[in-house]
Amino acid sequence: MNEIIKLKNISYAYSNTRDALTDINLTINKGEDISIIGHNGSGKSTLAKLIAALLKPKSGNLYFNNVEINNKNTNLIRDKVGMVFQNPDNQFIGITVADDIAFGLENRRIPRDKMSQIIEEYSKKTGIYELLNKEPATLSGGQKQRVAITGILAMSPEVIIFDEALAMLDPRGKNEILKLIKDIKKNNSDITIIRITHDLDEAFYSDRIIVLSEGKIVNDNTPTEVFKEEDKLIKLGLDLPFIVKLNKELLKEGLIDKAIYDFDLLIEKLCK
Amino acid sequence: MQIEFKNLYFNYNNNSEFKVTVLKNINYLINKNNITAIVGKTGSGKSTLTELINYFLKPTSGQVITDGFISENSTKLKFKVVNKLRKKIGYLFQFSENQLFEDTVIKDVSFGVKNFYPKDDGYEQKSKEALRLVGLDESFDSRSPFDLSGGEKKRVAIAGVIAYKPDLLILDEPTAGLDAQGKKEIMDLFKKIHETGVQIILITHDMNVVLEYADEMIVLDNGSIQKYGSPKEILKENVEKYNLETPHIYKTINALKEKGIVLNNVTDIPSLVTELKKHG
Repeated sequence: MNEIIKLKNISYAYSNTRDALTDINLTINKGEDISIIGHNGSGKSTLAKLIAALLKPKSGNLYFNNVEINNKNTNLIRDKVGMVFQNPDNQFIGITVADDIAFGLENRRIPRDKMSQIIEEYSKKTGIYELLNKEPATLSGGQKQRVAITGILAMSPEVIIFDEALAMLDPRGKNEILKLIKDIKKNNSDITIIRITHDLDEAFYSDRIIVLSEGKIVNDNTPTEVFKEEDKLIKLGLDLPFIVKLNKELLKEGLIDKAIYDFDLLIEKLCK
Repeated sequence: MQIEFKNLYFNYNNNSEFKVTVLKNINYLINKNNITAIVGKTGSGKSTLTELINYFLKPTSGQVITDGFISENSTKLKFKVVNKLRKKIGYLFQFSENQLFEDTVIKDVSFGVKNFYPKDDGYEQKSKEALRLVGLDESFDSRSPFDLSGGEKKRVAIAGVIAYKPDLLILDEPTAGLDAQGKKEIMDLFKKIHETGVQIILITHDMNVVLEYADEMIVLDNGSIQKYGSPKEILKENVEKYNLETPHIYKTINALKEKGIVLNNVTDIPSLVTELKKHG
């Protein structure tokens, strides 16, 4: 597998009092769908910002596509790593949706006719073509996040980081965005997805979970392995996804003989 | 405190071509001893309804009566009256963690107390008590709010609204962005505050929270109240048509029911397993 992002002995501190991240070693491969979980204040968002080169590490090295990132080449990352934030209202600058998507392209000096073509293409893919002439403020939460994602997709990123991007959405908005992420992945299996999330049900369906606590990586494994260590997670202020909890109790009482993490299959099994 | 909505209508930009009707003919009396959840999809009018309660907004027509204060379109808002009412209400806004502005945590929390009770010099003590209650120890007092994590900022914001000891707390998405334990701690804290006699109105998308903590719920959709009553009763039925998420446990019960397995008295995983075993 090709590595796309590598962090080597990275530490970061916002002030002199304490480190937000300590000695982080992490390799992320091209095309992975990875969740970073951890209690509030564990360093999740800081880690995301370091990966996106929005923060500069206190010590350690960051590699992107095997190139070490320094002061002079942060553009290598900025061009290829897009970030969707929790509060969509904090990331709009355009008067209309189309203007907003154009902003990133203008920065890259894409010619005007090509720009409209790109905006049209991607807004159709994300289902916001009809919204292009609207004011961002009039959109629903899910629509706003779709606009933000469209702006990022238009830049043909290699990595998209979702920093609690679903936390403020209602169920419909949440499902819209989850489906959109799935579609993005389906259309381009090389794209790397990093989710910073508290939603353990969401994390459960990614390929790999990184657990952070007090600024350190305390676990890095597949979801089923990570959620096996319940006591450890609860000690870290986390919980188990509902489906894992349910399986655990059913196994304990002998109602099933092995765990089934697909909801529909589990129900079927229980009805037999 | 008693809160009553009478034939309430609310439009944004009422006198312009951009008029948007947000609330239509709302009639409801909120039970004063409850934790009341107001739920509905984004744009259903939840925050508008709560913003009418303490005079942030005035009705387009109809009335909102909060603790005997009548608010209607023609009401002239006098500072003294509004201030007297707002003292009694702690309003925790959505994204309240982004509204901290002082250079230390203790100053930020004191702001509301000093504002509402300028002659009271016990504000620092009250603020400290509020901070300890939300689980932030002394070491936080002199730190800058901007150095804190998202979850810690949220706690500071909560301390800010409970410090002046309001009779009613309006909480707009208080648990968004908190981890599982943080969510439980904060909701348990609100429950504890409620038990001391503080009334709570809670806006949330999290039906698992509603099921566990709320005494009554109001479902808003398209600007009208579609359903109201006990969360246990309402959430059992299909609430997805109002764009709400059925709590995990009821989703499981409903899926089993569709396959012919009808279980009663299930409220959580242990009772589900017990009932399943009985069923054989």
